[in-house]
Amino acid sequence: MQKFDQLRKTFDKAVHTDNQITNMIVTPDSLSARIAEKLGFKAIFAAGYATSASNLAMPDRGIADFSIMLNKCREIVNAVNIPVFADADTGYGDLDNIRRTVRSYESIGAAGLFLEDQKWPKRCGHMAGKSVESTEVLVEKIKTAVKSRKNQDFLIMSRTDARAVYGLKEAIERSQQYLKAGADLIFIEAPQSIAELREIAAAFPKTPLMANMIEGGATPMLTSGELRKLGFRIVVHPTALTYAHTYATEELLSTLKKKGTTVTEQDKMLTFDRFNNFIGLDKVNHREQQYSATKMNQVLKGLNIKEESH
Amino acid sequence: METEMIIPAAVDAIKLQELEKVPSKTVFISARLLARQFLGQDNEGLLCLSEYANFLRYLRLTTSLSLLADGQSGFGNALNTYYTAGELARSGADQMILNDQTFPAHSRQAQPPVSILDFVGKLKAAQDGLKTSSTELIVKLDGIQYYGIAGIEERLKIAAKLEAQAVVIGHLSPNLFLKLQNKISLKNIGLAQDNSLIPKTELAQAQPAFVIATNEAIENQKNEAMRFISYMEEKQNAKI
Repeated sequence: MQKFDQLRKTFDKAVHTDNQITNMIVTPDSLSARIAEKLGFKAIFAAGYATSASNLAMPDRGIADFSIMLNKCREIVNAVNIPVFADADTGYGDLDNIRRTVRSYESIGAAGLFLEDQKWPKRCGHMAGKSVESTEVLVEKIKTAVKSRKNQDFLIMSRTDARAVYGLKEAIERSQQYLKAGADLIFIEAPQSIAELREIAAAFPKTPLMANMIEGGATPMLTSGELRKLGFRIVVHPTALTYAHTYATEELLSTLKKKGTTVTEQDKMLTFDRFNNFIGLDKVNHREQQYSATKMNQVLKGLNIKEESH
Repeated sequence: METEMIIPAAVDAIKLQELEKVPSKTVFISARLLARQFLGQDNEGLLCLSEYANFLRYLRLTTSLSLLADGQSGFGNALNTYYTAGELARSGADQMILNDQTFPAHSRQAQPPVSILDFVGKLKAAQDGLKTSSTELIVKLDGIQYYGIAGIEERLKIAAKLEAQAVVIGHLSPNLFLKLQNKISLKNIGLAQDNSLIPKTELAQAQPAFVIATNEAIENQKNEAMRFISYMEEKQNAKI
C-alpha cells in the first residue's frame, strides 16, 4: 500500500532528524488516535498497557496476546494518516513467532515495532517483579526481525527491561548488543533519574533513543523539550489517555448513578452535532450521496450504453 | 490479471503452498468455501466483511500467489462497497470480485440482482475504494436468469466503461450457457463454475478468458470429508 510506504518513510525521517523529538501518544482506540491526529500529533503508539485496559479491562501482564495487539494496531493504522509504531512485547514466542510478528505488523502498515527482553508473560516496564531473558535471546530476535522485514524503513526498536533487574550498566551493555544485532532504535525502560537519562543519551550519541513518560512511573516526568535537549528523539506517553478516560468515565457514571441523568454533566461533553462533525458523519453521508440513484442515472446516461446498443 | 485458464478456489494455506508448485498464478479465496469451513453452511452471505478480511490477511502472509478476494455484493449498498474495497485492498487482495446480487449474496441460488443504477453505483464505489491501491476490480454477473443475455450485454458495457479489469459470469444453467455461447464472444470474459450443472471442462471448452473453479473445490472438500469418514469406518471395523 502506498500509504503505508509513505508513513514508514515519514517516521524514519522524523526519528533520524537531529534536534527533533517525535512525540508519540499511546491511544487506547482509533477514536483517540483520530483526536491526536487532529490536534497535530505526528505519530501514534499502539501499546500494551492501553490495549490490555481497553480491550480486556486487564492490567498489562502478558494477557493481551499477539492477535489482540495486532488488531488494535491495525484499527488505529486504518483510522489515521500519521505513522503508528507498535509495541510487539516479546514477539510472542520464539524466532518463528518473531518472523510472523514482524511480517504481520509490516503488512498492516505499522511504522515499526519494538521487541523486549522480558520473560513471557511480560508486565508493564514500571511494575515490580520483572525478569529478563539472557542478552542472547533478544539479540537473536532482533537479528531475525531485521531479516524478516521487507522494507528497510520498517524500524526495529530494541527494548531492555534490565535496568530494574540488574541496573543501568547492564541495560546499556545489553542495548549495545541489540544495536550490533541490527536494532534501528533503542529503548531502555524505566531509568530512575535525570542523571540516568543523561547516561543513556551519552552511550548512544548516534542512535535514536526513546524515553517513556508514565505518570507515577519510575522515570522522572520531563517535557518533550527537556528530553530533546538530553538527546532523545522519541518520547512516548503510554498511560495518560487510559487514566484520563478512566477518570472521565468514573466521574460521569458516578453522577449518572446518583442523579439518574447526565443533564448536569453536558458541559463536560461534546454536543451531538459537534461529535458527529468530528467523527466525519458529513463525509460519510456525502460519500453515500455520490452513488445515489439520481447521480448514477446521470453517470449511466454519460456512458451512452443505450445509444451504442442501437 | 494475467491470462490463465483455470483459477482454482481455496481457503487453506497449505493448499496455496501446493498451488505455488503448479502453473496457477491466481487463487480465488472463495467466501463460500470459507463459510462451509467455518460455519458448516453453504452460504457466503453468512460471513461479514471483517471475518473474511481477517482470514484473507492470514493467507496473504503465506503465499506470493495472486489472491482474488471475494467481495461478494459489497456487503451492503454502494457506501459499504466503497469500504469493502478499501478493506480488501489493505488485507492483501490483488484482485477483488464484486457480484451484482442483492445483499446478502448467496452461494447456491443467487439472490436477485441489484438494479442497474445500484450496479453502476457499486462499481463506481468499488473503484473509488481501490483508488490508492493496486488491487484490480473484477465484476461478477450472477443474474443471467433474471436479466437474460440482453442484461449481460448491458452490464458488460457498463463494466468496461467503468474500467473493471475483467468480468466473470456465474450461476449458469446448461440452457443459459448455450444461449450465452451463441450470443456473446467469451474470449475476454471469465466464467464461474458455481454449481455442478456444467462441468469445468465444458466451461473451458467455450474458451473463455478464464474459469473460476469454485464448484470443483466444493467437491474436493466433500470428497475429503467422505474419505475421512471411510477411513474412520475402516478403523472401527478393524477394532470389531
